[in-house]
Amino acid sequence: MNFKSISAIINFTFRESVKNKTYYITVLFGIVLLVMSMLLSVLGGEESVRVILDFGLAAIELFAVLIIVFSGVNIILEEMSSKTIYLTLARPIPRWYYLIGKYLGLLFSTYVMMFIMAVIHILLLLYSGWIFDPEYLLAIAGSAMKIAIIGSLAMYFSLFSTSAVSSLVFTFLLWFLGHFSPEFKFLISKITGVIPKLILSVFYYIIPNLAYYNWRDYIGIHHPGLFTSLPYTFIYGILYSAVFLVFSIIVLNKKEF
Amino acid sequence: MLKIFSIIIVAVTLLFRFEIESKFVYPYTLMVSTKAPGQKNLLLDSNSVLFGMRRLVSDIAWIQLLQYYGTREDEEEDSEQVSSGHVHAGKDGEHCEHCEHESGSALGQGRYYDFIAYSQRIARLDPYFFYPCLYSGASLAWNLDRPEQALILLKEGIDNSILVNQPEYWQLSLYSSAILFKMTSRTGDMVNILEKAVIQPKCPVMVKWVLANIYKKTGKYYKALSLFDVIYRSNDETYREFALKQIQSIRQLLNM
Repeated sequence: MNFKSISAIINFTFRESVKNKTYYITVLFGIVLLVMSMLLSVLGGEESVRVILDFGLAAIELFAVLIIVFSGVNIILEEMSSKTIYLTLARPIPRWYYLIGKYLGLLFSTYVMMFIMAVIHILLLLYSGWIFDPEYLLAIAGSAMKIAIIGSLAMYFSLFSTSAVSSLVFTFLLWFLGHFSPEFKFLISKITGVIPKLILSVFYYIIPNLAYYNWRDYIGIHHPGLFTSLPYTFIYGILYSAVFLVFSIIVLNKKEF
Repeated sequence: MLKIFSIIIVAVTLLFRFEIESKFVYPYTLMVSTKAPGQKNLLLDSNSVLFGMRRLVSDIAWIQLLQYYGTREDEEEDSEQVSSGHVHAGKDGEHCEHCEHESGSALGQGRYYDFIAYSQRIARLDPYFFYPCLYSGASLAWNLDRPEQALILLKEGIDNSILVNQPEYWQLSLYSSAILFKMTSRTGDMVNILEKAVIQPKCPVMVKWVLANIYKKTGKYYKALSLFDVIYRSNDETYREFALKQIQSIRQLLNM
């Protein structure tokens, strides 16, 4: 394995992403929204700090999802349509180097955005009288895990289907279904028919359970359930992302340019 | 080779998934299994599940409760009263609702029939959002004079607290016992409990306001003065303004 080649692609993708105007505008808009949460917090009465905390964490995740999904879907499709992908694939490097490099570069640029927003958010919170809670970092880590999963899915769908719109729809659908998993499980338990129950159960295990990563829900409540599954969910997130990256490599290897 | 690797990695991922399923505890009550107290916000509440943002939507529900409670119910009645001029209802200035509004002692009073629905919505969206439970329980009991509803809400909060190790949750039981004393007209016992409640850092300003007014009505002017002073130093602008008026009125009574 040639790490130098992969890191060159990561570096290139990262630079391309952060140079993009859409990236700048999204980051800027995210920061504006964080500052706006200070205004919203005034309406929160004696729970104003909580309003800033929740609003900020939600904004960080939402903007990260928008960046990873839109970029993840378009990053390879654009290179294919503009034929710039030939420049990379014509070199003596395996195709999976290209795909892993693109994925990690994109993920890294999204994490940089999350980091910038988190720093600003923490400063705003401290200014509002918040006492730093290490669970905040866990909340950000949970969002980062979701971003890794949804990024691999976006990349897979962009290779699987040729239309960017359908890839976006599929990715967002899985994002919603992923969060709906606990409710979905309950609905499955209420179904009496064996075959529908079996089909839905298989479907339940295929979709990523993003509720595992809502670690921000645990801030300040000292819920004993958090740490019982935490290491497993962490490994599961990495494995799930890896599965869809492997699937993407299979699809990319089969493509003829 | 890649296909074999993909089969192995899928199998390992599924194994982890099964393992997590046996360990993971979803911290919330399921939205599909709980009856929504109102249909008005069903779309927003459902979306909170789909986006995984129940905490954020519970904050919005909390703001909506404050806006509902902060909006005057009888604006038409009030405008008529203002246009016809102020008429003192009580004899010899004993009791006058208008004057109570002026001094703020009637602050938060009214009917607000949907108050419990708004509060239960927050409790169901985020069962661990502890503060609205305290606030709503106290408002229902002392401001809106519906202690039965307050007890229902506080019981919901106590039930939700069983799962978590939150040191502040005992206050819900404290408020419940104060409300029970209120219902049985044991004002002295109620005041004793409220005195324990107001020294807690998470105590709503409104509870301090209730206790300060009880002190004032029962002639404990010095205690009332010190509590109004605490309220005046709080961040709540609405109560601060009225606290200042109360401090001035008590100082006049005491010739200070």
